[in-house]
Amino acid sequence: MKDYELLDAVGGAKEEYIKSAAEGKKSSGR
Amino acid sequence: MEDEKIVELFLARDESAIARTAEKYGAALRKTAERILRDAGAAEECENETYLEAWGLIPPHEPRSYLFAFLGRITRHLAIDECRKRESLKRQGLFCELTREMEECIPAGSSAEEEADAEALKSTVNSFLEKCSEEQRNVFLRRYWFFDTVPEICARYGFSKSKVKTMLFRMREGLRRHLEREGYII
Repeated sequence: MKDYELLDAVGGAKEEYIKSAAEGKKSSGR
Repeated sequence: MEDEKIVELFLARDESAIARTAEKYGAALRKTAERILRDAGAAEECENETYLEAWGLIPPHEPRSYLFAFLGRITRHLAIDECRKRESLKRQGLFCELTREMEECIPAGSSAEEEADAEALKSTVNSFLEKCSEEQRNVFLRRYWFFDTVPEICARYGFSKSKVKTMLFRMREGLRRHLEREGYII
């Protein structure tokens, strides 16, 4: 297994997980 | 336009599907590719190639509920492949950082010569993500799916730099152990 193969495989994360990460709040910071 | 309507255009072989997709997701797709390619022209090529691939894949695929995930997977794959081919990119910048971090997840004894089964690997990554909390998963995906920098993740979630770095480190460790358990060693 090569590093870029693993990085590429993360691309296959479930749609619901990607959606959650895409929509995750943008905080104004602390 | 809603994703479902855009997908309907693809299914009806209506070429305006590409323009509608570009309007809605073009900037995000280009940004994803540009983060690791660091080349606006090459990123634009990845974006355009993504539309062509999507045209060929819908149908049979019907990604009605969340088209961005479907398109983003294609763009990421194209950009990673381009980086892999271009030695100069491979050795510098964010791609270098990301692949070095991914290297930490690869179990000792895993054969670098042997090509991993891409579908099996995706499924293993998903089974790992399933065990993580939503917060962990979001941080991991912002870094390794969207290619965000650590400061960008901090700004998004209001976390400190050390918290994000620690979370990512622990998740890479967790993924390595998960891959070992799943048999990704000789």
